[in-house]
Amino acid sequence: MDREDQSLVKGCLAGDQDACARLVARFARLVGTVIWRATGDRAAVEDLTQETFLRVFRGLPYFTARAKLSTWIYTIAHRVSVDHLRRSGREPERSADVRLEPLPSSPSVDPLSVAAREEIGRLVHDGLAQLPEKYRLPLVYASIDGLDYETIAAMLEIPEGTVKTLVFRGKRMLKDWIVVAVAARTGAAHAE
Amino acid sequence: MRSDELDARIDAALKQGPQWEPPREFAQHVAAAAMADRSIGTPSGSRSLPARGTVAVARPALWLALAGCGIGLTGGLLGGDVVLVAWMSAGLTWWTAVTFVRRAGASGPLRR
Repeated sequence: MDREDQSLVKGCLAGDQDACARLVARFARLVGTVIWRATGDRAAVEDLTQETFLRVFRGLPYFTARAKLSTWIYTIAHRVSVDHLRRSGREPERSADVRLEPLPSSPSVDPLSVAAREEIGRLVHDGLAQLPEKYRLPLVYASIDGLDYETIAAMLEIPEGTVKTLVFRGKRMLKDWIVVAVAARTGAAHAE
Repeated sequence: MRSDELDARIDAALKQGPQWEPPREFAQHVAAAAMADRSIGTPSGSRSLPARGTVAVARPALWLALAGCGIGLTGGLLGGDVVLVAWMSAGLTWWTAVTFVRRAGASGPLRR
């Protein structure tokens, strides 16, 4: 834990409201981004971010100084997100049974070229929604600036190597989904 | 489009995901809410003391351990029989452990 974090933690434990506000200000942006990417629920981000910090403050007396404060806070943000997904009926493994059915692609159409013309951002968004949470969460966390594999591994409580594998597989599944989705669309367009 | 080009576009799209910006006064609002939460500001020094629930569970075991120490110290009164004292100490240690485990199991998770 660096000196600034130590000072903030000490101030918070001493009941210094200003120190608490500075701690929130220091981590709020990334905590909110983690929650937004994990849940996809824009309307809930503010409440869930506040809930995260309240949990942080409740747990602060038990926080060990050997740990990294930011990693600990992001781990709590991840847990708050997972709790929210469960509460809202989106079980973390809800999409585990999703199968990406291979569709016959039209030989005259290159789906990747079609994907180039389509808005990739929308395809990625739709594709992410189809991924099992096991792959989706590491993938979206890995795309957040400021979260490295070591931090994500701590958040998900899995080895760093497993995070890399899940990100790699998630990305491949996402790409397959995009190719299949575009092929299906162009196939249907050709059939009309 | 080449496959690696699609990979690059996907990576770029992932990076361009939503970034949350906290509203103004968010930090102050959360800090005020936290101050209203009575758990914040708990002196860290008190954490080194065992919780009352833990002490309650361990009390019989602590008494037994104390009795064991007493027997060990008065070993001379038992005729200086080291083997007898060792066996009695072992028995008390075993009893202490069993008592502690059974009490802990019956009490469920220890209160903080």
